[in-house]
Amino acid sequence: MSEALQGIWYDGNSSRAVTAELQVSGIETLVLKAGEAQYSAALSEVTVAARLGNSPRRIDFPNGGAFETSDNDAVDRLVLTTGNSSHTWLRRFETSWRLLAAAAVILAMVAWGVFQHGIPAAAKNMAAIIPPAVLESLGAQTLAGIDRVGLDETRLPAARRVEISNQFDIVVAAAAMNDVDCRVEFRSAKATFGPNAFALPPCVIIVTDELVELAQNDAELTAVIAHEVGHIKYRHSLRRIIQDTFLTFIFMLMTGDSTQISATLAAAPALLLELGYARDFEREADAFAAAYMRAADIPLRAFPDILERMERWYPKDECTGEDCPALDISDDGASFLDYFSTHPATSERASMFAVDGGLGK
Amino acid sequence: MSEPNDADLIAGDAAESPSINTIPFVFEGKGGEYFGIWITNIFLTVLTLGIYSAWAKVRNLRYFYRSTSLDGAHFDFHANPVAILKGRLIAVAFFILFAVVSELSPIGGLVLTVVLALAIPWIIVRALKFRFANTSYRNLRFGFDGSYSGAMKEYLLMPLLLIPSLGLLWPYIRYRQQRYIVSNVRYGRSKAGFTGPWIPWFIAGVPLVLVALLGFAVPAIYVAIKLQAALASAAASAEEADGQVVINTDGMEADPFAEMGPIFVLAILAFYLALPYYIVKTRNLLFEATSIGAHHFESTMRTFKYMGVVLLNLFIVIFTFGFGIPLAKVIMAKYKAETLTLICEGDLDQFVAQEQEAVKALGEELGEAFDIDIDI
Repeated sequence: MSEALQGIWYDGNSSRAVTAELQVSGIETLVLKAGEAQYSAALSEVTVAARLGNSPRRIDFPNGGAFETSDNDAVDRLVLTTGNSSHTWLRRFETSWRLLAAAAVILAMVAWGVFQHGIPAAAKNMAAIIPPAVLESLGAQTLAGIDRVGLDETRLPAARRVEISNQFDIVVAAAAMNDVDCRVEFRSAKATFGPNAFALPPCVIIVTDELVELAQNDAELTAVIAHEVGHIKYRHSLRRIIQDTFLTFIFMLMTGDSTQISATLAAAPALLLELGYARDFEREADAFAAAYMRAADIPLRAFPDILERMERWYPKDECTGEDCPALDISDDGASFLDYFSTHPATSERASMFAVDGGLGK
Repeated sequence: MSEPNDADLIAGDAAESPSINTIPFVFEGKGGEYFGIWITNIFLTVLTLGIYSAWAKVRNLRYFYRSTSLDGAHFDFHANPVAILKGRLIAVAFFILFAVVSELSPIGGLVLTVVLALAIPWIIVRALKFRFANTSYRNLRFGFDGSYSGAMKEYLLMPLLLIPSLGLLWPYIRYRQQRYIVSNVRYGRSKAGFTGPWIPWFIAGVPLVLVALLGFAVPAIYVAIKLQAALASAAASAEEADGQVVINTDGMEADPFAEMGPIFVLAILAFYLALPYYIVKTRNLLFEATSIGAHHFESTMRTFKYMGVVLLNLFIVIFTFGFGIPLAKVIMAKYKAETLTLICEGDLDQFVAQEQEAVKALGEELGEAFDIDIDI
């Protein structure tokens, strides 16, 4: 007879608890003594539960009864002697601090890679195979929505609108997008967005009267239009939808079994990631604008110039949250606060054009 | 009253009146130990592109169940991970379908929303059946016998009353849902009972409902109305200004966002007081109302203590960049267990098993995939 395991026997027919003792007897036979009763079973007939930390576990007998014990090490020895060693590698992993530390480091790296590169790349590839026309109704709804809330009919003279439309057509042609119909729309937004431009899917660009009035020359206007065409060319609205879907799904998986309060707090890191993606889109659109301006021989300074003027149009303290214009950022230098904004710092954006501008002119 | 000893127990068993014992729930899990299980779960889930998540779920729950003891005996969880995996795959497929369809066609999204709404009671019943049938204590299984029509009434029809009552009936609806769940649970052959008036539940929810209505809904409506008016007047003044660029937007002192800002901030603060208050009160009420056989429960959670635990956990999670989540979960489980006692008449040996029907009905695992949280 080998060592005896101490535990409690539950017969499976009732909730009665009986102090019990389990021993290996002879070859591969378990003998269980529970009070007056005694059961024996071949080792191959019982089910030994996998070990989980030091939580108590059960040995299930073929008659429906179960032996519950906290003596995990003794059960491990029992399992080892019989060669029934399933799950021991999992147990080894879960208790080896070296393996756990390695897993933690790998997980942190994987998370960084997925959020920084994986999701944007996946969204980019998926957006490329979806025809732009599927976003027609979304764009139309958005336009109807902002028309209702913040836009009025344009007061620009028709001749001026035609001039700008022609500029726009040249930029669109240069962007080489063969499967969309593009048009520019003019709106007045005096009390709301002010000088600004928006890109809506599949390919509508809205230019406000205030932007046209704020621009000191057509080069500045073309720069902003080229930036918006960049958003269209790289399908940012579709990619944003796909990325947000991925994020929602991943965070749903990660917080699936959390409590109600922590679930609301988990939204914060997801929001920071979304803002990070938005800034990457702005950089991509800026890069398109810069490339176009260089090719079309437009002075690169025009873009930072109008950005700065637009920024000044919005007094800093009044620009908060959703009131902020799409092209504005009220912080001059790179700082911690940049993580909370939809656009890169203007100084960073200007530097892209300033360096190139020096060479290009 | 003195501590009951063995002699008392034996005497109580033999004599005419059974003795009353209070038996505490004990959580024996350890943060460090659970950390290993937790990170291994995530690591293998990532490595297998999510397939392992079903096994991870079982190991997670099993650790918490097995670490919870009552009267020296431990709970256990018996679900088959393959069943959970199947359910999750179906749920993921539906989620992707839903996301794609609702982005592309609002009407298609609406149709799917209606389908999902009709399926909710069914999913809830399935999830509860799955969870309870796979939970055991002293080698006896729990069970859930709730009907689909009952769930339909409590989870689909009753919530419709929220609309005419402007949300005020929400605490009462929650009370009915909890009553539906508890009164359909059984342990072995013994059905659980639920006795308790709805009024305390209603009172527990009043602060939360008031915060939602007065702190969020009313100010939001106010802002919307003001914005509408501001836009109308701005349009009018723009006519007068006639094309001239107005640098300073007038009427900033009447900016409704700025006006309502402090109220929103206060409402958020009040929300994080009212929510824990509601959670704690209803948890206590739930266990007070529950009985099984001649046994009753007592839950003595306190709102501020609970908030302390939540805040502590929040700091742990933030300052460990998430790696402290297992410790936080163990701390919460310990607090939940130590505030819960069973008021036991006689002993716990008298429950009898129900013949186990082969519970293999389609969709139980599907319900589990939607992760409806059930506290024990």
